[in-house]
Amino acid sequence: MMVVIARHPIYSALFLVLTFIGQSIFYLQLQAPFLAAVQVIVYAGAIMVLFVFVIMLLGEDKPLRGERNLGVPAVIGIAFCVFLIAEIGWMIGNQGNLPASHTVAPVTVVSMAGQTGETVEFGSVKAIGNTLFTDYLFAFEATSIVLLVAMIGVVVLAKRRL
Amino acid sequence: MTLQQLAQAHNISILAPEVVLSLTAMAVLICGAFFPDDAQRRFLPWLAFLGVLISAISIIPLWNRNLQPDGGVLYFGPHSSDHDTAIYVVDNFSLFFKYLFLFTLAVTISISNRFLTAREGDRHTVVGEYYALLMLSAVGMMMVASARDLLVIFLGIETLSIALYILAGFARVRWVSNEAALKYFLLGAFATGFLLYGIALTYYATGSTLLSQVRVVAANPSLAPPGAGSFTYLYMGLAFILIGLGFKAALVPFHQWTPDVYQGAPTPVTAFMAVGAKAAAFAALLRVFPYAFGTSDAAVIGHKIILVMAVLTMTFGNIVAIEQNSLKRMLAYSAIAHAGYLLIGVLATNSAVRSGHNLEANYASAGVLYYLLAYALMNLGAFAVLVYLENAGATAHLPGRDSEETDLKMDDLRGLARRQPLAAAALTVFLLSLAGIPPTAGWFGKFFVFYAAMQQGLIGLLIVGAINTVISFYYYSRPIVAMYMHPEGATPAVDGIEVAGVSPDGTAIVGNTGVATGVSAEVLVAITVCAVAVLAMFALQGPALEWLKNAALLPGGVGR
Repeated sequence: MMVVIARHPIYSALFLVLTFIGQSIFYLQLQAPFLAAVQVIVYAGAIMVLFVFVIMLLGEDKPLRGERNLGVPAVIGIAFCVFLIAEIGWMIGNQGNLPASHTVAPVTVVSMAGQTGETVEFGSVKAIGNTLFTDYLFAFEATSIVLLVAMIGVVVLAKRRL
Repeated sequence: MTLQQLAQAHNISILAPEVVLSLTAMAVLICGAFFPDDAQRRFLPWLAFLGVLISAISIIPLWNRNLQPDGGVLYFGPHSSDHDTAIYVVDNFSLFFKYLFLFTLAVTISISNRFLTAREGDRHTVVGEYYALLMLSAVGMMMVASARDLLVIFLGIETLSIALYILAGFARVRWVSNEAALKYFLLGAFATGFLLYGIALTYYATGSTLLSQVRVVAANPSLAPPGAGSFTYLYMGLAFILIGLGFKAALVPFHQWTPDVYQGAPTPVTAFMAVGAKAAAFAALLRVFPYAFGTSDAAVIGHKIILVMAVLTMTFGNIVAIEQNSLKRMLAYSAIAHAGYLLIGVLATNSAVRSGHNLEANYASAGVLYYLLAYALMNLGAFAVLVYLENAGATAHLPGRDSEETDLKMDDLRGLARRQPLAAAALTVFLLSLAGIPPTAGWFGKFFVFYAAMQQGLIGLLIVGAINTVISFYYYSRPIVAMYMHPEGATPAVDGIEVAGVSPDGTAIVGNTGVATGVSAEVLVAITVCAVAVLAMFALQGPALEWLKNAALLPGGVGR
C-alpha cells in the first residue's frame, strides 16, 4: 500500500521491492524455491534497478504535490481489501472442511511420462532444469526466436535513420 | 555422440523448413548490415525469396511423415517412444499450413519489392530488417501449425505477433502507420494475456499443457491428476483461449483493432497480416477446439460461444463493410466477415467430431482448409492489386491528399477499366471470389463450408451465412461498378501515367498503355499467379478437396 501512498517516487520503488520480496516468500511457502530465487533476482534486483534508473533520469527528485483525492476509488479499494481479508479468514476457518485434493501436501511430480520413475521435488532447480532441457527444449529454443524478433524490433523502431 | 547422431536421435530433420527460414532471415539481416549501399542491397529480397523456396522444397519429403514409425514428432526427453506426448509434430495438417504461409510470404516479398524503395522515397530503402521480420513471423506461424502443446502455440503466436507489431509500424514517417502499430501492440498484448491465462487455467484443471493430455482429461474428468482444479476452470480456460485466438483471427467482439491496423500498416504487410496471422489463428483453433476439447462437456459450451461469435462476426463484418469508402478498410471488414464463414466450418467439424462421424468431420475440416486457401489467394491478390495501383502513383497527385497518404478510396477507381484494363480485370476476379460468385475459388469455399454445416444440421447458421453472402454482394460490387461503369470524376482519378511523369526512383514513366514502369514486374507476377490460382481452384475443386482431405486432422488431433 505504501507504494501508492508514498509521495516520493523513489520511496514507492523501494516499497515495491518489499512487495516483491514478500511475493517470493509466498513462493517459498508453496515449495517453489527456484521461482522464489528468480523472483528476488529478476524483479527485486534487475527490474527495480531499471525503475530507479528511469525515475532518476526523469529527474523526479521533488516529492509530488497536490491533494490526495480519495473519493470513490478509495472506497472501492478499501471494500476490496476487506473482502480479501475476510476471504483469507474464511479459508483459515474452513481448512478442515476442504476436500482432500485442495490441501497442500508435499508435492512431488513424476517427470512427464513417468518413465524415469525418479521423483524429484517439485519446483526445485533440478526439476525445472530437467523439464526445460528435455520435454520443453524446443519451446526453450523457440523463445530465443521471440527474443530475437523483439530485439530487431526495438532497433528498427528506435533507430533514427535506417 | 556426434552432432549427426544427436540430430537423428531427436528427429531434428523435421524442423528443416523452420530452420531454413530462420537461418535465411538471419543471413538477410547480416547482409543488410554489411552492405551500406542501397544498390548493393537490392539482392536482399532475392535472398529472402531463395530461402522461402528452399524451405518449401524441404517440406516435400516430409509429406506423410507421421505415418512412418517415428511418427514425425520431435523427440526430447525420456519418453521418445510415446508419440502422444511430443510437443511438436509434423503431420500433413501442419504441412498444408506451412505451404500456405510460405506462399503468403513469397507473395508478400514480391509485392514489397518496390514498395519500400519506390513508395517511401529515399527515406525507406531496401532494409534487411523488413524481410527478416517477415520471415521470422512466418516461422512463428509454422510453429503454431505444428504445435501440440499450448505453450508452443503461445510461443508461436508471440513470435508472429511481435514481428507483425513492428511491421505494422514500419513506415515510421507516416503517422497512421505508427498509430496502427501502437493500437495493434497494446490490444495484442492484452489479448496475449488472456491467452496465457487461459492456458494456465487449462493446466490447472487438467495438469498438462499437452493437447493430447488435455483431451484425455477433458473427456474423462476422473483422470485428472490429484490437486487439479474443478472443471469450471477448464471452461474458463477454454473461454480465455478462445478470446486470445479470437483476437488474432479478428472475430467480432475482439475485432476493433482490425480496420485501423489494416489501413495504417504498409499494404504488403496488411496482406501478410490478413492472410498469415488469420490462418495461423485458425490452425490453432482447429487443433485446440474440435480436437482437444471436442469430446468433452467443455466443448458444448465452447460450441455455443463460437456459434454466437460466428453469427456476430459475419453480420457485423458485412454490414459495416457497406459503409466503408477506403478500399483497405473495406477489405479489413470483409476479412472479419470471412473469419465468420470459416467459423461455420470449424463448428461443423466440431459437431461431426462429437457425433462420431469421422468421415464428415474429415470433409468439414478439409472444407475449412480449402476455404483458407481460397481466402489466402483472393486476399493476397486483392492487396497485390492495391499495391500495384499505389505504386503506379495512384493517389499522390490527387488534390487535398497528402503525398504520404496512399490509401485508395472508392472514387479513385472510377474509370479504371479503361486506363488499366488488366489491373481492373484482376481486381474484379478477386472481388467476385471474395463475394463467392461461381467461376472462382471463393464460391466452392463457401459451398464446402455451408454443405458441411448442412450435414451437421446447423441450419440456423446456414441461413445467417447465406443472408450475409447476399449482403456482401453489395459492397463487393461497388468497386467493380466504379471501375467499369462510372466515368472519371471531376478530379483525375487513379492514373499514375499522365500525371506522375517521373517515378520516385528517377526512371521516366512513359506511355499510357496500362503498364507503368514505376511498377515492378514482381507485383504483376504475383497478381497473375493469384488470379490464375483462384480460377484454377474453381476448375479443380474436386481433386483439391480430396488432396486437402489428406491434410485434415483425424479425431486424435493428428493429421493423417
